[in-house]
Amino acid sequence: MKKVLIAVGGMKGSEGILESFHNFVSSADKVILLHVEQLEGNSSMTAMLGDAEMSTLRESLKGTEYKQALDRRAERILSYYKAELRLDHATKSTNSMTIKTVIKEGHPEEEILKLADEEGVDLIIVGCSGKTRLQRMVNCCVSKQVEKHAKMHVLIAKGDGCGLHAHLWQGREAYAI
Amino acid sequence: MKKILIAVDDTNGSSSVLSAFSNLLRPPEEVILLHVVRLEGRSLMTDMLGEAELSTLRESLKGSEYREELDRKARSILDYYRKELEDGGLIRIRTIIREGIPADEILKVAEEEEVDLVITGSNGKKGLLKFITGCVSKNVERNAKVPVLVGKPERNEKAFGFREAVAKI
Repeated sequence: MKKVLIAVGGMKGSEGILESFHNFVSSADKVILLHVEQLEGNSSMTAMLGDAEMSTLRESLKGTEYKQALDRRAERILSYYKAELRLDHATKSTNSMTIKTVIKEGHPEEEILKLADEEGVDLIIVGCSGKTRLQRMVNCCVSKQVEKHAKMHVLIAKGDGCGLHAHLWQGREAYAI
Repeated sequence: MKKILIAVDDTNGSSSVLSAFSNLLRPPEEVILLHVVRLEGRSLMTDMLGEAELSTLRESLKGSEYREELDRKARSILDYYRKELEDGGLIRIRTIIREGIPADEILKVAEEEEVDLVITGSNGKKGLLKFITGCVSKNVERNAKVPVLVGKPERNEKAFGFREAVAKI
């Protein structure tokens, strides 16, 4: 029973996921499509948000317009990916694998790893955030954290923004930047 | 044209690439098996090795016993993985041996060969050790322009007899 967990964020960084899935992953029996709502927005202070703070935040946001907007966005993202996973554009064929959509809130990397363990998946597919080295140091990179701590194989898919900063490594001299 | 680059070495972490490959991936049209020989051994000073130093190192090692030993080891690692892949039914396999800094060579080969996917193992190092000695899979993953599949050792579903192969090397 091959289970794959696909973690999708907003559009940026997640683009490569569909391509990677259709090109490389052979028929999965079950796909779990996960979107993690970031309650704290794009705050850099995510590391400071422990469980207590998160649950307070969650409580205070319940029923608010902001939460509803987040939920609507999550639904939109998940329906898009669910449809795209079903249909392989290249071969114009649809598959019959089970796709389960899950919405979680909190820290993306934590929720991804938790769900992966709970469901006992064989592979996690994440997108690449496309952040530069400096941004990554400040904001932390989801794909790196997931890959570091996952117990199962991780496929890091690439969108258009990724590998652009790769030119920095060419020639060890440039590495010293 | 689906070309996959599989980067292997003699550590335990590499064997997971076989499980990742056979269990999860669609058979590609071509597989390139790459082993990067570490001329500098397990030195921690790899960041200091620029092109000039590496070519000096390469020159001084030419024809030495150490170099022959490294080459022999490289060939047996590649033979082992090639056999495993062929046993799994794969036909088009090409092997490449490079030398230098693993992450850089992997990325270079990935670009030269215009592969569609890179698979590496994970050496499983944690925390401080990883920070100091560096992590090949992390560097590859971060800088590659193509998707990277990082295989994890704990989920090996088949026993590959890797220990026997290592003993023969």
